[in-house]
Amino acid sequence: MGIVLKWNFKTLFSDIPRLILTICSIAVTTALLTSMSVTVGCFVLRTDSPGGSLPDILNGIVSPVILAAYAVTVYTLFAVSLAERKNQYHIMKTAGCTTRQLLKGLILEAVALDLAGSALGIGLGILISAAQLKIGGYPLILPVIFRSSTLYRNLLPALLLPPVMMLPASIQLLFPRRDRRRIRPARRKKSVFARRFPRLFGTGGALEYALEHNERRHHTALVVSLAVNLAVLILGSSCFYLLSHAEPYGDDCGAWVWYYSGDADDSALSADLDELIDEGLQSEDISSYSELRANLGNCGMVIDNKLLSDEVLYLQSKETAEQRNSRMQNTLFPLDDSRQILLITVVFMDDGMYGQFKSDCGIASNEDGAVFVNACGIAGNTTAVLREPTLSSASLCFYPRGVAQKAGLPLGEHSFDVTALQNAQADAVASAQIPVVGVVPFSPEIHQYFWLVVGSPNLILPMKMRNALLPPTDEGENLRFCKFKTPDPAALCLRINEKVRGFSDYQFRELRFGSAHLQLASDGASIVLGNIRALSNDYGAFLRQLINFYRVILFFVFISIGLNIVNTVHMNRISRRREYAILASIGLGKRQRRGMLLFESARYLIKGVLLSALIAISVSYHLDDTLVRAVNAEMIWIQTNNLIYTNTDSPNSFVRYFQIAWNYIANIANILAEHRWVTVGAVCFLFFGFLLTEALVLKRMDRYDLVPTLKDDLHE
Amino acid sequence: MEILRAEHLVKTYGKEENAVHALNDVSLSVQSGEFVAVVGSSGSGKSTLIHILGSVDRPDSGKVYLNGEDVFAQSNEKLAIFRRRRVGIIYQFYNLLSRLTVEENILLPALLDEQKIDRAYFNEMIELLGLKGRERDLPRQLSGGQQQRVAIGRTLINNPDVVLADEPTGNLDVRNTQEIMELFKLSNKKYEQTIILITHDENIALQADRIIAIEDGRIVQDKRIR
Repeated sequence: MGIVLKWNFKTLFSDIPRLILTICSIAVTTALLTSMSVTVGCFVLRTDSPGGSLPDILNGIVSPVILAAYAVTVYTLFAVSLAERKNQYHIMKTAGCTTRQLLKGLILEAVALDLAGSALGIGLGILISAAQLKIGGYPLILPVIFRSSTLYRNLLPALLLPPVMMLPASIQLLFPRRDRRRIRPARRKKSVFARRFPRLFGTGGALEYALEHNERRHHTALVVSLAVNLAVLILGSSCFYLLSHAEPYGDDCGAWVWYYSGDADDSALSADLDELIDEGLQSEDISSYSELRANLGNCGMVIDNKLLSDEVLYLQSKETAEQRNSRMQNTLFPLDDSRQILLITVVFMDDGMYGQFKSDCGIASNEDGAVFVNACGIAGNTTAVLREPTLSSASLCFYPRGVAQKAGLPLGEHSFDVTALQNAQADAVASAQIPVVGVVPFSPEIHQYFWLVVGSPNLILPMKMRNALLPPTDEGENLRFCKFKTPDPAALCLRINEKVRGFSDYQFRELRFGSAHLQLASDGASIVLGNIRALSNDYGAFLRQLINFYRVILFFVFISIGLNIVNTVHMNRISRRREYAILASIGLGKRQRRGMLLFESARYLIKGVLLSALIAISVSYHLDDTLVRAVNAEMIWIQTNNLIYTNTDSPNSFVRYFQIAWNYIANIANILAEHRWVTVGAVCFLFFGFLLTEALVLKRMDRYDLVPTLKDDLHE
Repeated sequence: MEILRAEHLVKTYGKEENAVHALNDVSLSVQSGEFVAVVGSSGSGKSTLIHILGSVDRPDSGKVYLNGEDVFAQSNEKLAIFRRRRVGIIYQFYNLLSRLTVEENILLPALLDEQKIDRAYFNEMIELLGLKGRERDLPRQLSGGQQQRVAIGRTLINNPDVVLADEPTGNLDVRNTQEIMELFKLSNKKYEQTIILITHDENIALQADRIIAIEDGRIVQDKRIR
């Protein structure tokens, strides 16, 4: 251990509050990132979240926001700490300490702080996760989580940041600018004290203006630091706003659930359905195929999402064939032959959502009515692949591109012609090892609708049922289809499942855990599970929980940014301590000091806010867009009113980009105008918060002795 | 006429065993227009005395009267006004505002006092200080002696009752030291400026009217030499 490092540690321990502040800042961020990865990881594992895209994308948005805030925090912390110790290092340098020795000492110091803070943070993060998961009724599955890449993707940059941020923080100290270069002949004719605007703030304002006029370097650094903080704040708020308005299953969306009972006299089922109808759910009976067809024509589709994330593959690989078989036998439900039920679940969307979906997944109808599926998709990372015909049924699935790649599925642009698709389907049906329940062919007439098939190894349907979805004739005398419209189709599905199959919620969940999607290839029954899973109440709850969780995380990010701004202002005060001491010694009055502060705050705020708005708006357009697309793809409706772009064309040209950016600004302006009191409040809060911080710091400075500062010969 | 009087000043740094008695019951009186040199070895408490007389530090006990007015009985706000109008302090390390020009530095107390600037007086002073043509420069573009002259200009601009100088020539060479001393003597003669100057250099002290010697926080000798 070098002498510099020893000295560093001595200084660190001499200022315990600062040491605690630094370690806490590091710990808070690592705790946030750890708990985020662990909680979401466990959520996903437990619920078999389809697609895996929403948690991934939310993580992809929130963790950079956290990391950006963290980088600035760490930078300011180190910069302040170094500014306070500046004299010590100057003395060490004059005593013959080389730059390399200094740098080594500083970086080792950062690493030590980092390790201490991270150890604390990771422990804390796991505790937070455990608590959070316990509340949600999920288990903490650490062994799997620690093998997942998400955790390390989040944590590694956080671990590396402190030593890295030490470099820019110490650059001023290690390589001070040569005096020679700063000297330039003063060109001003007239004293800047005469300027009119600063005069508004009295003598103090004029003085502050004059001070800044001669040397802007410090001023610029502070403005940039503030702007980055504010930009992260705005971006965070933007996420927060979107997440706050994300409602799983908004009013305009719903599910139509048809039930068919093979036995028309099944009075129990009828009673069950009637009960649901009595609960006030909008419903209607459909008793003919043509009606069904007509209704289906208006529907969207069911996507059979599939989770193929690292974690699940890991689970699968750990499981032996016997374990898997016994689990299947124990957990898969036996269907009662006497009660044959066809469950058709179709999620449908209103025009806006459908449009969004269409553009996300690249579905378009050409003039011939053929269906094209392009690989563009959700934020450019989803692809559509035709599932292998070894499945019991041919199906068209959407996977996030990354998942598809991992699973070795063909990527690229796919355009399907209807005949080929129908043939593939027919082949799949013919080669199926299990009875095929029903097939909806790809057809131009129901182009918005792909297919839905439900089956089970034990389910044998009469011929007419198999044809039920196909023929245009009405043969449905003994059929009963009930159509329910509900804002939460998942809950309804679950209710119906409970009723007609006697599942308890618990069993149902157990059934799905870790197994359902693995059976898809061989077992028709699990397709039911897959579909229901995507829509289950549990999944809606999962999404809500996920969104709430991210809200909490963003809240902590805001707090950390608040601290950051305080720290920045503090740093400013420390670096100007001597100036204030000199001014105090020649009689700077209270009112004048207030004038200086007001003027300074006003300038920093105006510049900082403008700069941060510029950064934030340019970044947040993409960010919001990604978020909206991600969340929509998971069938959550975001009621962001103005923030959703009706025009979903990607900005492919410079002009177009600015057009969209301009719309975005206009939208934000509209929102601000709508909530003008909130806006005014926020600006006042910022301004007075800034002032308050300065006042507090100055009050602390008042308690310092002026004398040591004035006698200090190592100024600047 | 008595302009400054200090009574039983006590100032202690540290606690208990480590306590250092920087000032131990110091009383003194200075007449208007006097040029006083305070001498003493390092750590004898002479700087503390100057800081307390200049009201940038507070004594633990004791009182300071300037023109018969109790300095430390005033509010902080009054004290600030007092500092800008009534006393001027000069430090060994100049303590100029590095981001203001020479002119702004000199005029600062007047600007803070929101007075109308007396350009004639300013020009006269600039001539006197030998800083003509350097008004728009920043302090770091000047030599040490020049910077100290700017500091002197800053203290004199408001015609304070008393000028306090804490080893003003501490890091200047012989020539510059003599120039600065000439300036002090000139302002003492021409404007009848009361000056209290700290030094550990006997040659400098001998140029004053009166020498006060301080040892271990006590006045051990007080003699008029002229």
